[in-house]
Amino acid sequence: MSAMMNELAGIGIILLFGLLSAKLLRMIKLPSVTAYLILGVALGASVFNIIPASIINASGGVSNFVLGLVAFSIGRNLNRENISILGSQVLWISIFESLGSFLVITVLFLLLGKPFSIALVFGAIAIAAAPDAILVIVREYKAKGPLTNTLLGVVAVNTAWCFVIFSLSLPISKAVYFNPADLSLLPKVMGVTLIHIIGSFFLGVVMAFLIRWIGRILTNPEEVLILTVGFIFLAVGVSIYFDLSGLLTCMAFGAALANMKTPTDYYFESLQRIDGLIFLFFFVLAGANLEIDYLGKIGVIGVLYLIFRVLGKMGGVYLGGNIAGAGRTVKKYLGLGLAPQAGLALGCALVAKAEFPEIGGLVLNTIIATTVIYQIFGLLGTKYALYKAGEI
Amino acid sequence: MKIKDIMLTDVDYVMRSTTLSQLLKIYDRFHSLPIVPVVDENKYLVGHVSIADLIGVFSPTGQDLRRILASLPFVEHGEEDIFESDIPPEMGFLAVVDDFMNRNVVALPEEMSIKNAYRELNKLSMEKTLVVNKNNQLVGIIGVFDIIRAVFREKGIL
Repeated sequence: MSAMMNELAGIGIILLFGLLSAKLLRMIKLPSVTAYLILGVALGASVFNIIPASIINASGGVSNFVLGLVAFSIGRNLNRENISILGSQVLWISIFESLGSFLVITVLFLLLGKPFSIALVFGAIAIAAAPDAILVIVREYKAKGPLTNTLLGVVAVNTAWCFVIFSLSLPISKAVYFNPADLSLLPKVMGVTLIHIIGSFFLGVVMAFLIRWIGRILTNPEEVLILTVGFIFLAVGVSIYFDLSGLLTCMAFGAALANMKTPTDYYFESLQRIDGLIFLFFFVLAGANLEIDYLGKIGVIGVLYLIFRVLGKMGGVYLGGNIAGAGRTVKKYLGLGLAPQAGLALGCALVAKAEFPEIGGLVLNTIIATTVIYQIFGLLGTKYALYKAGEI
Repeated sequence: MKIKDIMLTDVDYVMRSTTLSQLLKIYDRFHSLPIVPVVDENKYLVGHVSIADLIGVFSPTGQDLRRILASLPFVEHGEEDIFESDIPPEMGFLAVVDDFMNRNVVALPEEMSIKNAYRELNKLSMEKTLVVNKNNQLVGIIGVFDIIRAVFREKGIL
């Protein structure tokens, strides 16, 4: 079948069927991401084999760009005004729920006898929650109240923590993987990681000043879009060239731009005209990367990941909630509300596969499989948490 | 030519404490809500209210959190279902402009040339926006039509 399908027809099928499947799943109140992902699995090599291999092989590049775009948008929210809007309770809880799932999954994988490099990457990806899925539930059931507000605030900050910890974990994981017995390298690895952070931050700030400088000559929204997309490609590409973190660079780029005194909102808003299209393509590709053969191997790991990720979040919320003086309902149910996992985790897993193929297959297949399950049971978890809190 | 030479200076505005009901009554006879400037007691511009902000009243979250969530990755840019929403009548006097206004207001300085103003409005995909003096006090409103009219006048058509 795949031999009959050229790349252009493959892209056409991805976009058209993606749109239709999202409309279909909307009728049973599931987010579009679920539809794209399932469609990707169906169109991929493991099932109908309709998407040409050349498109699937481009997943690494596509995911690097998409996550760069996402990191740039997240950077926009990193300003003092937003931090004061969200409040200290949200910040404390988000720090602890992120650390909770990160530490619990990392330790769990070590206890299961997995190498440190694999445990670290899984721990970092486990942080990711799903703002889109949680918002679907909140809107659908018209949830209102303190738990809803805190949950939405925490999930907003969670994305930033996930990116930061994932960006730091990946190079450490690679260094440890290729030098397993040499502990003396650890200080060097930490030093290189620090250089990664500083270098990425510096490059991001430079990009922000450059785009603002060139942006003065623009005259219409199309040019703004072209310039913004061009700069995101450049930021990711230059980061890869200098062995920096594309995610941190783009996040610093977005944050520096958003904190400038002159209006810069239109750079971010221009992306809203294309992000739906890009995300659709990205999620279908993510699903198409699933290798069914792997599913048998990840059975126990997958089930434990599903359970312990949520337990880590629940424990973290409880600790963070105690420090921040949160109410009993928030401490008790917010962790469960954060159960859904979707685009962010998939994106990180795709980047892990592209940049670290030695472990990427296991990581990506586990995350795809668990995401599909979380899209059903995670959403139920959020719904149950809001119901028990009396907010739906 | 500068913005201040052609802008409209007689602009209606509201305060942060204006209630939702009062706002709706002020603009009762309008078919479409113009950009409503929000100022403090010294006429410093602190925000604005647009149709999108009014729709935000139907949202389960506050306006600021809604804006942050809308900019998050993979979140669909769907609008609130205004027909199915449960808004109690008390919202009319309980909700004040400060609860749902957009604080991230884009205003142009009155000293800007109309050529630059035209470019900025195009870039922002806006038909009109607010104008402030160097102290960030509201002094007027400028639209693409004002600029085009000024150009026609300059060409002797008007």
